[in-house]
Amino acid sequence: MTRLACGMAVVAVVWLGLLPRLIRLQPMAGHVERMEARGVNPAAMYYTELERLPLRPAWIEQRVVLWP
Amino acid sequence: MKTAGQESADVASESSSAVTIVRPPRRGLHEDAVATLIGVAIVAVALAVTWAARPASDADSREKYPKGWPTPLSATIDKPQTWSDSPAEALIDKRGRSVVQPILLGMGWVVAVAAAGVVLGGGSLRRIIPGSLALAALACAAYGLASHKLIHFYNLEYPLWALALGILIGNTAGVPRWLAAALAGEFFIKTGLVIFGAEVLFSRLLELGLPGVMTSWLVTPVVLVATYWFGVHGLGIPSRSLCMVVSADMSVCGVSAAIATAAACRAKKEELSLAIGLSLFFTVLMMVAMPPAIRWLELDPIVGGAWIGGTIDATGAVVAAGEALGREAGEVAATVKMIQNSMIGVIAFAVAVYWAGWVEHAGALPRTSLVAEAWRRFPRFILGFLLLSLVCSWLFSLSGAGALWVDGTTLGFTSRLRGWLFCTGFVCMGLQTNFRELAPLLASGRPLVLYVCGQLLNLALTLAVASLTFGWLFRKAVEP
Repeated sequence: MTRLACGMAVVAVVWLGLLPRLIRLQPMAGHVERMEARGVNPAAMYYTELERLPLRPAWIEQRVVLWP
Repeated sequence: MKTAGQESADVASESSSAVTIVRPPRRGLHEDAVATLIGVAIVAVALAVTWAARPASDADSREKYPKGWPTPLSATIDKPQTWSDSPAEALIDKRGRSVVQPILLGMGWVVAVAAAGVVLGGGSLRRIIPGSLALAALACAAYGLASHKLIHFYNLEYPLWALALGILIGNTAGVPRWLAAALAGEFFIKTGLVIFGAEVLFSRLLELGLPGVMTSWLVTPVVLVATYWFGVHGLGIPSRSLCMVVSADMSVCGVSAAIATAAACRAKKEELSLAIGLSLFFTVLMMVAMPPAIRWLELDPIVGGAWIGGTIDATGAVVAAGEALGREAGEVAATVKMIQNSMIGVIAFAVAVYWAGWVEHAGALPRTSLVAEAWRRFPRFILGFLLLSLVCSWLFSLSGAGALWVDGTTLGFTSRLRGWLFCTGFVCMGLQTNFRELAPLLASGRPLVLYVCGQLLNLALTLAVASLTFGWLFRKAVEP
């Protein structure tokens, strides 16, 4: 039980103390800001979890022959 | 079925004797059948509810419904939102609405699936309810840890924290008997995978035509097989299932592929944990390093996007890295990754057949016995996964309205539910993982070497094929 309490204390210190401070520092703050501004969800495990569904880009057929 | 109760009996027996596993006599359905029944039933009901609530006008308008038809079921499930300073921020969504109720209902879905599993499997419902509630709460806590913005935007996904939380509790305080009674990690993962089948749409394969198919479907199987062979024969890694899971998560699409192939080849939970850890670590590295490397190489954005899409493991990280190169590269990267995502079903099925027929069969059996033995060992929930994949692919391809129906159901409900089930499954796996068993795997360093060598091959082959297809072979001579 003591070891579990120690582990939980470490988790609390990291998530409630360290991470909120780190996220204000560069380059992390810039990365988070850019991702939020573009609506990107880097934690998506599968395409269905993305903020925008990847659909065929409108411009692609002007640049690449898709079915020659 | 090795239900929650039966699995706990295994655990209890393992922990007391450390050797003997005593399984009580089976009274209900097999675990694979239960996972398939529950998964198929949930998707069928979700499709029916979404259909019943379909929009009266513009039902086939992708512009009006970019994420498919809205489904009433989406109000019954959600997860903690991203937060930066206080965990209380996780309970409010982007529109300022409280998500406490849908989070609690999401936990309720986990308990309901566990209860249905134990009833169909012939176990005792009363024994698993307290433990299932605790597991759902731990899954919520894991989601909460993964939702910190720094963690979230650097792609350290929830499976890592669910495993870590489980390992922390299991290896310090131990697992109390009432909680052990509800541990059914494999069942949660299998049910989540069957439901996941509805998201694996073959119809998405042709989104980028021949160049996309060549980039995804030529390179991926070659890298998968070559890496597996190198792990088994080159590095001499004794566990074939570890080689397969590491190869699949590196060559297909990270954690989701690792989960699917681990279930197909019956990998140990320690092996899946290790593969996921490796994949997430290298995903973060590649997400940060590939965009500047592509700029330095002065690659065309289309080729660079295809290279990113074919090599970085996790889907979200692919979009993040692609967008760092620009909108065009981001769109190509995301679409190539989506095509690769669609391969999970085929690969999981192929791995299950290969494992049941060639890896696990016992010596020199006559051909008829060999087939029977392979069928006996085949993980049959994979058939439920494939069934849902085929049915939803067919519905998706019927018409514009069919595509919006499937997208609305999967994006609004089933993808969230399978996320909760995977998260709970990983908590269970963490609770049952003995950290000492992970240590030798880590200490040998060979899985790390396998991952690095496989990824180098993946990088080289994908760059060659992306340059060949998007950069030269199918490139239009006159560009605007």
